[in-house]
Amino acid sequence: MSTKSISHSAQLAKRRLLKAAVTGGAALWAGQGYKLFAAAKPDEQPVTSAVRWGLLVNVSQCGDGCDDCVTACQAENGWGSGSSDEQQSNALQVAQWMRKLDVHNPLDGSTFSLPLMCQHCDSAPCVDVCPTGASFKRADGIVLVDRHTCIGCRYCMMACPYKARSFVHEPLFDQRAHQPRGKGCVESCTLCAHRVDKGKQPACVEACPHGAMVFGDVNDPNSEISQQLAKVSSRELRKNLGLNAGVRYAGIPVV
Amino acid sequence: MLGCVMPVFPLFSMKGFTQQRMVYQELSDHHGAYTLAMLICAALTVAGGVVAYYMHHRGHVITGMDNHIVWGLPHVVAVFLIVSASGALNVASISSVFGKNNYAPWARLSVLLAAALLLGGLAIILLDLGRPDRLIVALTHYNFKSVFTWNILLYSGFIAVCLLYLMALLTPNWQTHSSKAGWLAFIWRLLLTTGTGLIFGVLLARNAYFPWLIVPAFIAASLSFGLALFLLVLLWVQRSTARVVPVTVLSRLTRLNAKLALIALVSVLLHHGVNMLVEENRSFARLVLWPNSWISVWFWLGQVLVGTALPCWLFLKSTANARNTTLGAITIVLGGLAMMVVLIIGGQAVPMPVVDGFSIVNSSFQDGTVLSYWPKLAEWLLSVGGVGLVLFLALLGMRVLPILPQRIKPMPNVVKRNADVDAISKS
Amino acid sequence: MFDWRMQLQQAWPIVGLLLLFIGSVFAHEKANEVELSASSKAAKLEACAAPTEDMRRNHMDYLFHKRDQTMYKGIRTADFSLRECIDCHVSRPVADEFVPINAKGEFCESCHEEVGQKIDCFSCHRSTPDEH
Ligand code: SF4
Ligand code: SF4
Repeated sequence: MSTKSISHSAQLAKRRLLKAAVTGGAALWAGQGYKLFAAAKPDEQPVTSAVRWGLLVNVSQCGDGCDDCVTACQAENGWGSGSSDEQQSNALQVAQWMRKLDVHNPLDGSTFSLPLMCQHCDSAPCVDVCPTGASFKRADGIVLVDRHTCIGCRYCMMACPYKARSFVHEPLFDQRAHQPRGKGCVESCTLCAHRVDKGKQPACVEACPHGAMVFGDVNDPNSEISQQLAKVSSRELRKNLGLNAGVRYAGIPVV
Repeated sequence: MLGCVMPVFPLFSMKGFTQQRMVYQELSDHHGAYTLAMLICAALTVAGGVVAYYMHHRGHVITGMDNHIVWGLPHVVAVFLIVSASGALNVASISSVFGKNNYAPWARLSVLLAAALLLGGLAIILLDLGRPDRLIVALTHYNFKSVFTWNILLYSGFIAVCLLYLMALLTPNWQTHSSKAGWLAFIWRLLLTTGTGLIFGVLLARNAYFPWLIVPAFIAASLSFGLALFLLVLLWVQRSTARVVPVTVLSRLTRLNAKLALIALVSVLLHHGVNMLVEENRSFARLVLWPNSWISVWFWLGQVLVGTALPCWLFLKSTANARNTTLGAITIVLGGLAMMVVLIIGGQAVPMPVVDGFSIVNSSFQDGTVLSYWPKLAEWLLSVGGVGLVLFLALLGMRVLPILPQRIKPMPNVVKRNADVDAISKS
Repeated sequence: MFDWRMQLQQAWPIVGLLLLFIGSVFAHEKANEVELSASSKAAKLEACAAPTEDMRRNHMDYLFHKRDQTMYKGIRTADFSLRECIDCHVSRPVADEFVPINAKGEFCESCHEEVGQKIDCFSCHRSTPDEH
């Protein structure tokens, strides 16, 4: 089993505790509520594979017609309503880092709703197919695009099982300073790596008024997300593809 | 050296031609047809180049492609040209690998066309990149896990192999080398189509492609489309440069092409049929086979009727003549493009089961619907420009290298020359 | 027989041209004093993240190194981060108003223009500090 898979190996937990003691960042968790999920990583310290960031979406708490997470993502990362750009692109050409889906529940004919974004796959198809290696996975499991080597071939978009990636169809000017984006490159949800590296939560998680999203280190058995994952039953989307996604969904009816 | 006529080993073993020296020559430029064709092709190529430059400036917003249909007409045409490159080698393979000497006079043309087709297809793909200015990145950063990377190597290798092969064919007394090069090219072309098929085959996310059936479908298709394109060029050569293709050769090739088109269709049907049996893939197969979506129109009307039935009828009903060969080859080409539309565009237009087991009723990204796509002017020009480049390169090759057999006196068993051939050869 | 001196004598126009070319490069270096925008933060500071001469020659290497550190390893220190460069060097004619740093005559553009190097950064990076 991969060390990065969402499972709690005692060894990892021990290693992590040890590291925490060494860096003096102990007592991260004990009852502080999930909003405070980790001590900020010192800026000069590289990310490590001891951590694997994950996201748990509780579909039963996700509000119908609510898209606060999407709006927050747009404002944070400067796409859609968060930017004055992409005026020429049509509805299917504009960026879609994150979208809300209404899904039909065949059990009772009702619908439920969920946010869909890059699932930060452990064995990510986009990374495998990228000819230049521009699509890559950070040590902590966050999948990103290196726009300096992306040639805009869109093969990763063909390979992504969630259509989570967008291609920028026109020149951009109004980016956020921390989130470069530009014409001719492919992009997707970064799990707010720039915030996470500073010890903050992704913007969508923070914005959700229904507390439907939990973010944290799934390698740490004491994290809120690990405990929730142990408590409630959850699933990956398209589990049969064996991607070991970093985003899990709880509350999707079993049919 | 280029200007001289090259004598080559005896190869015609047909009745009446036995042990005659085959002589090749460059296209001489006093054919109006050549100059006109060259001008048209150059104009198309330039138009493609200009639109690529404009697209690089404005972005893909000027195309009909979007975040669902990420690969559009340029990719349809480019993949078609690339797989055809493999098929264009048929005639060379038949003569070098399978030792059928009566096809040998056209082996050079076959290799030249193959190289040109590949370059044209590759040019389209590269110019359609979001960042074509970063070509150097693509050539210096490799992810060897990526099928795309394998294909970049396969494509450049194919061009190299073709050039080698052509060199061997052009050099007098290199029969042994040319048959070795022929074998290399034969193996390489199979790898090439396998690699191209795998670009789609490895996309497990897409419920349109069944990995181990799309590869044979691509191989069969390549044999058929490439031969059809070769036939079209051959007929142009016959018509415009007063060369004569023996009717036996033409008939055999058209018959072969009909069979290949049929095999291509069967292997594609097999692909869709097996998809029908696989739960997740059924939705796509249904859209192709059931006559209730735009995708099925392209399949039944495009590939089945125009691309297979019609050419089979044209090619098999009687001996080949210029008219039915041209018509048949054109229909095969159209059918080939239709097959690519079904697989490439259709494969992206079908809803993806992002939440497996459930259907999506509403999404800001139109997730649950069968999408449609129509190319804009930019894609048309880019694609046509690629075709222009293919023909431009092929014509240029015929002009500067002794590719074509020397014009020969008609023999009793060759095709009846038509009026314009007479007119041209008299002028 | 092969005579080097004869060869060289024949080649003198080429050698001369080459020398001229090299000379022009040096002349260029001399003339190439980067103007700091008076309204930028940088104008009020003693030195950049490295000595000025060093920055002038090697800023691209520092930037490349830093960008890979940030992107692949999540190292988010301020030194040599393009965002900090822009923040410090951008012209601020009025409070909270910026001139894009790649605009004609501005810090990045003026020098790159002079040495004929295209800047690719701003096809993706914001060319002014973030007002958000
Ligand atoms: S969800 Fe798509 S973009 Fe994200 S890691 Fe998986 S394959 Fe890549
Ligand atoms: S579009 Fe960019 S990130 Fe995606 S596969 Fe191509 S080079 Fe890689």
